[in-house]
Amino acid sequence: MVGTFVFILAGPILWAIQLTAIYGSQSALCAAGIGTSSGGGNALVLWSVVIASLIPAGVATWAILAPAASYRLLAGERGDAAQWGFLRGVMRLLTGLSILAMAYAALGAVFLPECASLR
Amino acid sequence: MSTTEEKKLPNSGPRPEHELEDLKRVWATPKGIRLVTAVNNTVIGTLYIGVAFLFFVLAGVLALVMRMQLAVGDNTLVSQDLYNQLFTVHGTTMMFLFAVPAVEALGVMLLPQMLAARDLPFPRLSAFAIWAYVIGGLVFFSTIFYDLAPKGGWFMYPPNTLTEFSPGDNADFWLLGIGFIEISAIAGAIEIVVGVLRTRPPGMTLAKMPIFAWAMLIFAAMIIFAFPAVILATMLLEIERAFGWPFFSAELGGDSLLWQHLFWFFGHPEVYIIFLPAAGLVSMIVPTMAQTPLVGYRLIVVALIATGFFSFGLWVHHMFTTGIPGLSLAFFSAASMAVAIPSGIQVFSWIATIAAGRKRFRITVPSLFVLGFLFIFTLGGLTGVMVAIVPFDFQAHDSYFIVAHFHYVLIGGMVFPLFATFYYWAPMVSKKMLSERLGKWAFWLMFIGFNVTFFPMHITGLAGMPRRVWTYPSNLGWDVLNMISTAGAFVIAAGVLVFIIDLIRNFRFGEGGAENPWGAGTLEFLPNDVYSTRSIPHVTSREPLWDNPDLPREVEAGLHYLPNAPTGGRETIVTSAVEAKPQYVLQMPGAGWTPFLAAAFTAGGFLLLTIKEVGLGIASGTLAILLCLLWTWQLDKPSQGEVDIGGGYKLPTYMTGPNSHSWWAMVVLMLVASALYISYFFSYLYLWTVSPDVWAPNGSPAPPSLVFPVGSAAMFAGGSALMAWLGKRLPEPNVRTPGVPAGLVIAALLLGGGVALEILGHMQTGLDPTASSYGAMVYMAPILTGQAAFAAIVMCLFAGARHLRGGMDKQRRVTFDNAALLYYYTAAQGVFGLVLIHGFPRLIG
Ligand code: HEM
Ligand SMILES: [Cu+2]
Repeated sequence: MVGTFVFILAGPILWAIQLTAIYGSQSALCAAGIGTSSGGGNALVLWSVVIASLIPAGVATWAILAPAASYRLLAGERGDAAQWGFLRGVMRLLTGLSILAMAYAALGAVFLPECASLR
Repeated sequence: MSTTEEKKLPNSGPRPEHELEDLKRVWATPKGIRLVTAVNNTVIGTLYIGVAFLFFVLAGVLALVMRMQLAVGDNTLVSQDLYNQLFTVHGTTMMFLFAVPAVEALGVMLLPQMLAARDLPFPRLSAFAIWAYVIGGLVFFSTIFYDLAPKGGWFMYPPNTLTEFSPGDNADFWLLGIGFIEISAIAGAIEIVVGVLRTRPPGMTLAKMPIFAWAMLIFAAMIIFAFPAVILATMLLEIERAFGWPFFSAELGGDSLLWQHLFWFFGHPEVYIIFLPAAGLVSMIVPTMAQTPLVGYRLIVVALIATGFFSFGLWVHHMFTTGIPGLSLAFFSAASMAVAIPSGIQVFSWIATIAAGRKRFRITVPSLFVLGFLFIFTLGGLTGVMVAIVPFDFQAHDSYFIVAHFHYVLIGGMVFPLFATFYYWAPMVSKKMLSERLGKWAFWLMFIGFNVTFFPMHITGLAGMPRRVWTYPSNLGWDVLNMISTAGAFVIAAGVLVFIIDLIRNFRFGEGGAENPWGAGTLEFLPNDVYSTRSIPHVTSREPLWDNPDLPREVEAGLHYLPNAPTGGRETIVTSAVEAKPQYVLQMPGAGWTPFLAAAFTAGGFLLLTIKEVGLGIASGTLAILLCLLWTWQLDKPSQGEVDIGGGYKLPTYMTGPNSHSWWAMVVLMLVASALYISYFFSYLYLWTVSPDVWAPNGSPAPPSLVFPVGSAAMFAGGSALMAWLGKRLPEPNVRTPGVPAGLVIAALLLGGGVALEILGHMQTGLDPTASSYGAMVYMAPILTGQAAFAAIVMCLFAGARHLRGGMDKQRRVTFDNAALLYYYTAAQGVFGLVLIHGFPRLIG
């Protein structure tokens, strides 16, 4: 039962993990001044954002491509077909949206100095 | 219908005469003064929504006063100080006493009907939550009359709200009053989660659930994760104000931005907490008005879930101008864009549904309000995307542009759907429908008035007028715009007045209203009485009333499930969460005084504490706890054996373990507690990131010797082991042994002892919570665990007492199981706290 809900919510959960990881590591590294250059850039932050985004996005992509396998992993036996179609459809759409949201967030790290205030 | 088809129905007719009389008797609404003891969802739901509407009117009157003051420059109608109180009470009342309660009320009122359940699973809990809200809310609002109202705005930022700048009790009324109302909202949310997941009719799988039920499920889940953050914030601020623990004072290592983080972690989801149920209502009304199934049901479910999640990832967009690193802003700006997508999906689904049914689409009062909603909300969404762009926000921040934006979203997104709801669902609880003629007047006055009031504010804001100013010099070119806004506000008021006249003329509480007047497809329009539907239908589609026009007749004739009251009390069917397979029959409590009295004394306790009557406050709180115990003592009815609900289902009448509704409620409660603790964890780490070099400050005492945390952890672990051991050895029914209560008392002592030992350890080193934010945070961990421990201890003792009175044994063990669940949770949280405090940053930092 809980597994079914985790299955539906897989995408948003991965998105939450990504946001926590990138915001957490960026805030902590910048606050502690670890690796920050004089211009406010910080390669450590950049790499942690990239890694913390690629892993959840990868898992999410796998869930979209292999819904049956991920369902088995999380919830076990499948119910009737109509129900399954609904669960799978909702999961895929949600995960797709989540990947988009992850990409939006990660893009910032490519363009902006990692630790500088904007003004 | 032919007889062969009739055979497939769960029960056969005609039903014995006495069944209907039994149902009527069991579910009868108490009369006269005893009405306050009622727990029926239609009765308390109507009270709930009525009081929420009252707060809308009251806060609206305050808005009119503000608009009168702002009509012309250099006005002196109200003083600056009163103006501060006015916008604070207006904003706070609208958000906490009107918007959230109103949608929660609709949940209580409509969900059981939509799910064809006899009631929500914890009727007394809803009654308690509602009375607490009514009493607490009225007292909070009345502070505006005694110059006692808070002045810090609806988000009460420190340092402005610290004692230094806000002396007196005003701010405390906000902190304790609103903190208390939130507890009531959480109680309601627990009810809604368990209700939606477990009291659906047989056959209503997740894929067949009405959209409103989805919306309320997500709404409740969001409350569960969002409200604890602001509860923690109000606790910290109140503790700082009362005892001087410097969580928010920069000179002692605190940070006022911590408040903003905690507040907006709640505050942004709050906006969607208000909007999602309203969107759910629209998704119910649109298909009926267009006589077409909702286009994109699955997409709407996705949109609701996605909004619910993403809305937790944008709180920092309220803090764009606080000097946070640019990249952090980008993360949250990104989420703010992402959250706009699902809202867009919903808007397109509604438009597509209307388009698909355009030949049949009826322009009624509900559809007018829905169309008004679409127009206004979309505009509010557009300005929302504008202010989510960081550079634009730097310009618009704290100006009237923001006031315009959020009124477009809030009034468009919530008030208009609410009025649609009033007209659409009134026949469910009223003998007469509301008037289409008056309703159209109300709509046009409100719609035109709204745009006249708030559209000019965009321009006023861009012209530079800041929000929250009590007056402005007449020579800045803001006068005309403000005068227009004020005129518009009175037009809105006229619209609301017309609606009230309509209510007075046509709303008559009671059964026997028009049956399915709009031709809707969902279950709440089945024939209804005090017991909800006569029998609980077997559901095979999303619009059962459209697909089976005979359903009302079948249900009314008692041919579906549970057409009677087999245990002689109130009951409903509990089904599985995903597939909605019948699992057991839940025996529910009926009317009683305890929820009302407990709520009154809880509210009393909080209010007495606010005005620093500590002794009386504690007495009142203790009374409230005793009343709660009295109330729970009457719950957990013993098994009545198996009952036949029809359709070949013979269901048990008592359930324990992960299938039982009380287990679910406990798990949800634990989620609330952990959300509170995670907020604390965040705050602890946050204050460290703000000033890692002075955390702990130089000269603070060394950490206590490891004996203390290790001893404390041992007590937690030992107590948990004891509980597990006891759980396996509960005696058979009718066997009473003093060993059970003795074991429970020892477990309780261990839990309390573990918390006390941790506090003692720090006290013994001389760490002073008022000297630094570090010290304050260190003591906060065991205090939070102590709170949970207090509840767990009370429950342990309660279970022990019940055993002695023959109410708890190996079979009837729900009171024990609940205590044990909370016990394990508390112990785990305690151990986590020990590792955090003793390990970081002092050990490894
Ligand atoms: C019905 C017509 C309404 C009018 C004429 C109105 C008018 C106003 C005015 C004049 C202010 C103060 C602006 C300032 O000085 O900064 C204000 C603030 C506010 N309003 Fe309304 N309002 C209305 C309805 C609502 C509703 C329905 C809600 C929420 C559901 C709401 C939520 C707020 C909030 C949160 C604030 C901010 C308070 C603060 O600055 O702390 N209002 N409104
Ligand atoms: Cu926001």
